[in-house]
Amino acid sequence: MFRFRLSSARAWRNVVTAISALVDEAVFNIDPEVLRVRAMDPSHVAMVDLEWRKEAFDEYACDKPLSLGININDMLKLLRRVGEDEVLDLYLDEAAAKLFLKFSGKYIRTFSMATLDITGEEIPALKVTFNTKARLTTKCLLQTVEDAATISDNIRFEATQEKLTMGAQGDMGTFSVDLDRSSEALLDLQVKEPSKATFSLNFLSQIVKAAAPSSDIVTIEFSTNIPIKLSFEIPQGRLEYVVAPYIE
Amino acid sequence: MSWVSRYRPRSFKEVLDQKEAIETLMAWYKNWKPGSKAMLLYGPPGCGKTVIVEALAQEEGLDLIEMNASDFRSAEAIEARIGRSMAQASIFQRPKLFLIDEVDGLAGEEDRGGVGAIIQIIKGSKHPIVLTANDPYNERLRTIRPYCQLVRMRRLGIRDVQRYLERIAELEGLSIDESVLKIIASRSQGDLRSAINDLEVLGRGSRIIRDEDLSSLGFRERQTDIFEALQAIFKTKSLMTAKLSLNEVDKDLEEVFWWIENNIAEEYEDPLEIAKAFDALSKADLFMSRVIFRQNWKLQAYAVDLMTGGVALAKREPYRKFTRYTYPSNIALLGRTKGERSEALKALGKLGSILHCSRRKVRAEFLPYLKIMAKRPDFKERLDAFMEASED
Repeated sequence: MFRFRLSSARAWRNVVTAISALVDEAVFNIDPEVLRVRAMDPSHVAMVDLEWRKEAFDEYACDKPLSLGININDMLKLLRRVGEDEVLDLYLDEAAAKLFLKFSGKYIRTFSMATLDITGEEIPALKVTFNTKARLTTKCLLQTVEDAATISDNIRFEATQEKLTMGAQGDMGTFSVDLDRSSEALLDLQVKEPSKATFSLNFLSQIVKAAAPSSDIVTIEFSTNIPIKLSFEIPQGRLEYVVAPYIE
Repeated sequence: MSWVSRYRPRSFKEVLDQKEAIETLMAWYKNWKPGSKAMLLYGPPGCGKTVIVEALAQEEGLDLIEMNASDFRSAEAIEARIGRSMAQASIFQRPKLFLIDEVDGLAGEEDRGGVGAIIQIIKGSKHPIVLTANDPYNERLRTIRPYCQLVRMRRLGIRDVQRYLERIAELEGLSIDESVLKIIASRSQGDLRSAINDLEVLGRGSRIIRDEDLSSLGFRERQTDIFEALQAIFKTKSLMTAKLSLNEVDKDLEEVFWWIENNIAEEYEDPLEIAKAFDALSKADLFMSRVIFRQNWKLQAYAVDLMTGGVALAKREPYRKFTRYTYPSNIALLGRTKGERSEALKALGKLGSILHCSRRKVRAEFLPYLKIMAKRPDFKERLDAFMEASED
């Protein structure tokens, strides 16, 4: 048995959007305490790690651990039908292998969708140590990746003791943004060693766009030419991404 | 877990046979740098194409990204799925290796774009890519081949398959006669995967397997590839063997004809033998054209006998050597000049409609003179202008 209720259906749409940045299908691992999704894109360039604790829901019930294969694109399609201030009830009919989404506003609308019989790829834990850790507003990061995307397909991150620089270079010209310690957007900066790495905006901007509605503050961790980790702060639990660097 | 995956080789050492292919694959991987060719492994089903790539990833500690060409319905799907990630490292911080299985399964005409997309990916990739196929001479792969290093994997020997089955039977604690294993192995015709599947079907039913249980497995027909057919024809002295070699070949008779034609001189060394073989082949050709002109398909049997048996019996003794049979050069030529020829045909048609005669007549009676006249620049200009004007 599994069901939950959220007074804001929009919040759930944001969660599913955040996953959809990387995968079309995902396995939801659900137990009595927490709902967890770990997925990576088919070519191992990026990974999402999402956790929503029981307390984050208005009601949450699950009697035994279970894995649910979900077609993320399909679910997002249904969630796009959500209106303002609607309440979402989501429940599973295990026998029929169907998931029901009930939107309650002025009247009650119910969608059902099939669950998928998929087993997620076992994702080994990542062993990465980072030299740079920066905490900044999601708004600033979102604007930066969108700015960079107008110039190039890639974005460069560079950190020194004094500042965090993000920039891009393309046929048209260049773009860069400097955040020093006095910047309002930069909340914290810890640098063990100066670091520099480039990432594909193809992945990064989709991720930041998808996560921005759920979170105001993001911590980025990186070192020279290793994957970058983005931890978006959400009250309900955890929303993290890892993205592999671009090979120059 | 199915037995096929449970008993899958994890290292080169566990892979049956295929030593040459493994060495070539290793050398290719070691020398690979961006811009190098992709690797196209080809061979019959169940001979270990995917397995040796997995073993390579295992031994070298690579992050292997496996996909099947049938997942790609269109060029866009390929682009979305892997195109955008060919320049990215792996989140696991290991070198990446891409494996696209069964590229000859890129379905149908509408997937021409898919082939193009794969070529683009090969050209721009920062990671090595391995493709696998059963038949590398599949028409759809014509444009991919120049971007690949081709490595052929041989069909596994029945003895090897049988030994592998023996090991599995022992580990699974099956009580099974050697003779039964032998039948399963020989029915598989070297397809280890299907042999293991057959054994699993029997073994899941009961621990003790006897001869009569075999009847529960249907008959499995297998296509042989053209190389094996050629080998049968060129190495045998028996008319029957040569004739039967074509029974399960997945090519039409005319293509087989050209394969034989192209390889006679590669195999036979004595000019007299070569002459005899071509003599038989020319008679086969005569029958083949009569089949078409008279629509008398009974005659095809004679064409088959002459091109297989006739060629086989042209030699005194089989040659004890390995011959690399090559793709018919005239089919390759026709493929290369497809565009030009259809252009030429169009021009002939146009002249024909102006001159009120057939294309054949234009080609035979007008073209030679037009060519001479076109040597004068002013005439050529006018002819070009005229041809262009009559375009509409």
